[in-house]
Amino acid sequence: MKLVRLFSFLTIFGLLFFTTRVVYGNEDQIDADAEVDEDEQETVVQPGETIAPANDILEGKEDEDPNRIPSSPDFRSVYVFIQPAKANELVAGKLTRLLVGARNNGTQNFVVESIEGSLRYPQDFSYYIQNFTSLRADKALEPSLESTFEYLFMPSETFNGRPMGLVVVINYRNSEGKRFQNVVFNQTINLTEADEGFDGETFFLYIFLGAILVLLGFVAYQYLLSNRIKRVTGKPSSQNQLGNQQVKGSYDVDWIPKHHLTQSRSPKKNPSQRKSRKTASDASEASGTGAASSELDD
Amino acid sequence: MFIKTQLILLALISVVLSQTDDEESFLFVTKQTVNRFIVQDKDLTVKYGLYNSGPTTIFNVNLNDVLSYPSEKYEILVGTLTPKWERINAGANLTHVVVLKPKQSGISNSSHAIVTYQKSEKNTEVQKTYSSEIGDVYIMTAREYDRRFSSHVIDWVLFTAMASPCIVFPFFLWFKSKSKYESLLSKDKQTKKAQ
Repeated sequence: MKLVRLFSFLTIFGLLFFTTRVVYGNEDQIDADAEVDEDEQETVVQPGETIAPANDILEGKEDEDPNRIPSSPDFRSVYVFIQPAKANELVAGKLTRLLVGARNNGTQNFVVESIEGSLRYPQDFSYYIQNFTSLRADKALEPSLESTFEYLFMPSETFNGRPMGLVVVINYRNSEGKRFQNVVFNQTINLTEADEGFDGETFFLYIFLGAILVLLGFVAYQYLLSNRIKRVTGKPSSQNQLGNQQVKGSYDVDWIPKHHLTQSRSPKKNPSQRKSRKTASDASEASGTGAASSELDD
Repeated sequence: MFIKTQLILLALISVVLSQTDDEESFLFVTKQTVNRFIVQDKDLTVKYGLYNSGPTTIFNVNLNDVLSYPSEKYEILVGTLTPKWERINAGANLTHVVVLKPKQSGISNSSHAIVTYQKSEKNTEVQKTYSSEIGDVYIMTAREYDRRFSSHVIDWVLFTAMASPCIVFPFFLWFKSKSKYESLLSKDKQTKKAQ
């Protein structure tokens, strides 16, 4: 029992340790990615045309960086979350669908290259926490044309119930090859836990706990029962003449079925008959059996 | 500041989830496949979702996706690839479903659908918009699909037929010895009783 408990504790702690290890591993990777990203496009965090959150934390940090990729005034981008419907409450560990709409208001073609999304530290948007797979579009957008892009991503389950900065940018270039970037979404969002009706992990945890309880109960029951039986059977046997036999033969007669007892008694009589015969014939040979039979006669 | 945040929250909670700066409405068009595996000569369901995010009702919505699914590669079973709608109200959703049957297997690229509409009743200018893309999809052959997902009844029957000697032969050996022993035992008893 103790072993099982120890084992369960070990597994739980092992799992915990493993998950923390995994989280650290992820962060390391993202850090490496972030460095690369920062080299390429420094401080992409700047309010785009479409973003006007009143409580934007970044408003104070709006220092213009010469290296940042500008956004074209002729390019308009809109967004809508379709899964889940609430934009500021994304579900961690669940697929999120974001529709990004783009419109070319200018006179020359734009080529939408990619859409990138990432989770940032809400206090410092230059600190990347999770990068999402970018959508490679490479779609030409002629003047006065609109296009919809479906960006799918899945925030990691480890960020349950934490506020996060979600930044989604759309990269595009004009027909001259000049690169632009629009910030489609830049807000601090809350990641909520997925309310699943059935969680396999907890279900099996409860089953395991239930099994342990049942096992404990069974062991306790067995222990008590055996004690009681011993006490109950011990008393009358000591009073009975069977108690003598029990002490002698070191076995409990109660356990032996009746028909066996009658069978075993029948040969008992035989040696007594034999004894009477044998004592008559030769005493030296019957010494062994005689001792046994004398015991039986008591 | 507070009123502004309240307004933003209200806007988010309400059905309209858009962030349009100007008065123009924007039509989001998505295109998805419902099927997880696309199989040759089996149904392929393509779902188009249209969502008018803007403040105005849009008119004369025409969807055209004939280019993505040419008739020599796909057969239309249900629905049409060129649906038309008179109007889509602001904040309204519209879903259109087409069931197709791929005639060929292999990798197939399905591009965007083209939707044309009028931004408002007065604005007669036709706006063209592209839907999102499914991209390259792999159409597996019916045989491949069967190999992965069919119930394999014949395979199991054959397997049991082949595996049964290994189980049945030792069982018979054991059963023989057992019956032999039992008959011996009963004979013994009978003889004892007779005695």
